[in-house]
Amino acid sequence: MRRACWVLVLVLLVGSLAVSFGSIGAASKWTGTIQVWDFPRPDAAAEWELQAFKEFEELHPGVKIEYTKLTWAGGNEKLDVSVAAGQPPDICGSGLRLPYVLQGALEPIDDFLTAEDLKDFHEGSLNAVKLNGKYWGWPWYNTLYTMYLNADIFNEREVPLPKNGEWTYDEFLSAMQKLTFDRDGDGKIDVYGFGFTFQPTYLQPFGIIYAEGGRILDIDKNEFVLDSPEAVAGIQRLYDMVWKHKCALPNAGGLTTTDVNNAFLNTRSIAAFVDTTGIISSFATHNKKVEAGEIEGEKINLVTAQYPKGTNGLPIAAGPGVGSWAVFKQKDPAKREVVMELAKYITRGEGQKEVVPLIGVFPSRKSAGNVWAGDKNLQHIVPAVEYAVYPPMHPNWNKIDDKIMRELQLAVLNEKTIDAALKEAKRQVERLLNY
Amino acid sequence: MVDGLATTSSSPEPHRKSDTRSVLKLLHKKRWAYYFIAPATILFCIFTVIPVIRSFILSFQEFRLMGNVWVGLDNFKYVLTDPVFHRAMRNTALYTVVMVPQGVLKALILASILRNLPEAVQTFFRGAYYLPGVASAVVISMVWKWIYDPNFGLFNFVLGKFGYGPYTWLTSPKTSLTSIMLMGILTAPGYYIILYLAAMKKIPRELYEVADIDGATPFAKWWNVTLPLLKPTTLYITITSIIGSFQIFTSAYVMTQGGPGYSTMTVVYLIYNTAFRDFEFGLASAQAIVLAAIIVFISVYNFRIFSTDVQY
Amino acid sequence: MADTTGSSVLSKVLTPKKPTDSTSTGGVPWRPRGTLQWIGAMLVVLFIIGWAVLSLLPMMWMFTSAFTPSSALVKMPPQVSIKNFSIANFTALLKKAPLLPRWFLNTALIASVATVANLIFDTMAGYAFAKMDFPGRELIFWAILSTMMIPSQVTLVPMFLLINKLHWYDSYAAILVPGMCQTFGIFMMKQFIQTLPADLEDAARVDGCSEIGIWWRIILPLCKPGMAVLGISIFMGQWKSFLWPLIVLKTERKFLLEQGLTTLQQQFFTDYGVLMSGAALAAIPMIIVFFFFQRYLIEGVTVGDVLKG
Repeated sequence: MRRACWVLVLVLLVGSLAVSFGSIGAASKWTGTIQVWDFPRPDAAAEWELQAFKEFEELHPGVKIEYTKLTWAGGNEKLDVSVAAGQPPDICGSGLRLPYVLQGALEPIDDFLTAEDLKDFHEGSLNAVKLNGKYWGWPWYNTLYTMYLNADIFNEREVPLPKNGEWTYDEFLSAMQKLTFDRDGDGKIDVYGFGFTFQPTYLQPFGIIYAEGGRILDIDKNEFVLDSPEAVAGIQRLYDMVWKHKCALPNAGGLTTTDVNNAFLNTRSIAAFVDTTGIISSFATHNKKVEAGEIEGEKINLVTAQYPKGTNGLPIAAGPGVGSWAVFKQKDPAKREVVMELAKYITRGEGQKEVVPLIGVFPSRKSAGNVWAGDKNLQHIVPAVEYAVYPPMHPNWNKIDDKIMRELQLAVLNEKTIDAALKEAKRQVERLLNY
Repeated sequence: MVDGLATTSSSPEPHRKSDTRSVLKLLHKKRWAYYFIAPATILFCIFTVIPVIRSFILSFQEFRLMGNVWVGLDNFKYVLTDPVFHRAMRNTALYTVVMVPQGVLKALILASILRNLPEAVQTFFRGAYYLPGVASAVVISMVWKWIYDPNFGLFNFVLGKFGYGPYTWLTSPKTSLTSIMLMGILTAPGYYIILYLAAMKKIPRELYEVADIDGATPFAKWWNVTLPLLKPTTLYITITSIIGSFQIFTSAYVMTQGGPGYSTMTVVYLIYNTAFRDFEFGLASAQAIVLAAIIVFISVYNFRIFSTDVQY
Repeated sequence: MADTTGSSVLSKVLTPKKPTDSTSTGGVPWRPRGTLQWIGAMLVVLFIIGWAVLSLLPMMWMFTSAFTPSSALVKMPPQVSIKNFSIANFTALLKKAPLLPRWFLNTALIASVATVANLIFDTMAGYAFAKMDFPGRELIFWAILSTMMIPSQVTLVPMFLLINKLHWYDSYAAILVPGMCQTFGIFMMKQFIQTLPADLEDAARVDGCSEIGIWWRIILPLCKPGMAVLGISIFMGQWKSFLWPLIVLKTERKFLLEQGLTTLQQQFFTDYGVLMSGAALAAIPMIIVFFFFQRYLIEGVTVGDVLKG
């Protein structure tokens, strides 16, 4: 009887030890399938991604990656429906959306960010994924706007291109005025210097507002600051270009971003506009095809420039945000660790060095180096990158953005004074600030 | 049926028995009707009723991934006091009031003209009016964008030749909604035209021949024979275009993004933003239910107007 | 099924008076008399021609851009004549989307099945709602109709939950089954069948024709024009559907055409040549189906034909 008891105790001891060791072993070696979703990238970048997934699978035997390509049209809806139905992917590129953070659908990455990571990421990149004191995605690349100039129109009007893509506001304005002209002498303006509009989520004209220190929100104080004198001066500049100097596409505010793009690319009726750097490679392809005689049409002789500098002489850049990899809530901590590792692997510095130029954007890590050094077009933007301003990370930003843009539309359409528009925007936004 | 139930209290057993039996008998007699609607009703119950009930429940809740929270009538209170919803409702209602009557009339008149043309010609026009629907929305919106472009567009170019304009079209809050409506007005209602043509097909020739004997003018025949017999089709077209107009989304989304300001904001655009930009499905459901209530109300009213059953 | 041909009652009710006139759609064609009417008629003709041209503009533009050597940039104003014909856009499209033929077949299959299912179920339900008097008719009809008023944006999530519960995620059942019978189709067929003469069915019933027989032999043949319209719109609706397949299908091999084409869109830039060739390719089956069905629009079935059938 006694012996039997001892045996039993021994068996229990050994058994529990084995079980606990076993679970430790399992924790470090999770195996299974990771659901990866991403929006479509340019072909070369997409190939790079698939290669990276393969490498990760090799580094982690037993881990399988199932990749789903989302679409830009309808992709957000697909993601939304899946998240709302409680069936999100494990990880998603460009999947960091504010409502997901608020609804607790994402994992904060803070515990997986090493001190090195914190030092390596650009501050702006990290701030763009920070909400309520935590980081919610692995920054992959920074999307920035650049000013595109049609060099042919500059030459036609004998307007010098800005040296190194840098100019002051006065230089910019006088260039735009000279570039506004009646080509065929019928008394109607054929080409305008600048083209812009205000549309929710498209922050293209805001570089002009940021230049003198204007900002939309003060995140730390949770305040609306677009009515500060600096910001108002910037809005006034945009307004004046339309109404006083008449050197910007009329009906700004009533146009969509697509209309402005069309005016520059297709009808060639504006000499300058702002868009993301990501479209540059498409121009190169277009020109190559024209040269090779594959397609009819005119080459587009493109030059990039920074936003006009502020009076403090510092460059300014603006961007619509940071592309990042967001990890969705994981029940199994062992799996969470592996998924985080995957995110980290995709967004590592050496990786960015390769893939970021393929997307036409800027790296989020300093260790990726200056990927655009020597690039004819984007080297102009590089000095401004560290001054880049991204949309403020506020839980209600999407709604705030919508209210502000619609008021600014009315202001630049001269339907309302700037003052009245900002007052109304402030009234609306203040209700949204305190979430 | 209700009366029958009320009287059973005095002499319960035998009555009830015969009652159920008569109901069963009635149902048995009508069983074919139920067989005919069975596939539709079963599919409908599973794939429409369940989701609709779920979103109805959701309209009294705040959507939360961790479990929805009951908020009573808060969503409805918010919707009914939201100035943007009011604006969107006004825009949508105005759009519907303008678009539905003109759409129905246009289809009716065009179909009436077309049906008198030789068959080959008719085929061409049916195709010309209906087939543009196969082009993707992107293509159609691009063409309209070009037509409306305030600086280089077709309309301002043509009108300029006659000394008018330039007009702002989509780019001013004063003219944007009108321009969206004008786009609809200038689009041929292809689907409704072929539907009317199909309905006209089955009007028996005999009826026209009787009218001919009476020496009726073509207009009198159209008015007295064609129109009354098209009533059910007209009701269908009216109801579906009311629903379509109240649910207008794509043209506002693609052409103007609801702007400038809120001048072309529509209710479904707002619902879309609430659901897929803000992830607030509870509030979006409340918005949708308020919209649906209004459409149902107007539809019932329309059924009343057209209710006289028409048969040969 | 009882044989109705040669039945005495039926033939009494439905004696065809004249052979069908193939050039006219029923009414006696109107001919203008006098100068004023001629001018009026000419104006009307000009108007409907002008409008047809305006309507066709987007389609012409789509086809010319599809067959014009691709420019990454779209031409403004729209170009409606092909200068140098090329299928480069299509080869580029196929290179970008090797699965395209597969998507094409998938969509053709799904759209055809959906069309046939709707032609059957919608006319069945429409017939019952239009011609039969049964307890609960109004209630069921209004219940079905009123759900049309709820915008689909809010039922998307509940619908997806349901599909998951049924384990239909990434299967065609998720697309096909819910779409086998559509409210607008039932409503349309009900309105269409409502005006068919009641004598016909009554006569058939007297002759001992079963309910199914009446539906199949009397109602359906008389409904051909309406069913043609229904068929066209169901097919097109299914062919163009994109958001729902996008949400419920995962395997790229199973994608439907419009859904597959959207995967080619880039974040920052649209290649309009490829976009247009995709759109043109997608349009072709719809055009074919339109002309297939529109035969039945022309073919006005008369009461006499039903008897013979």
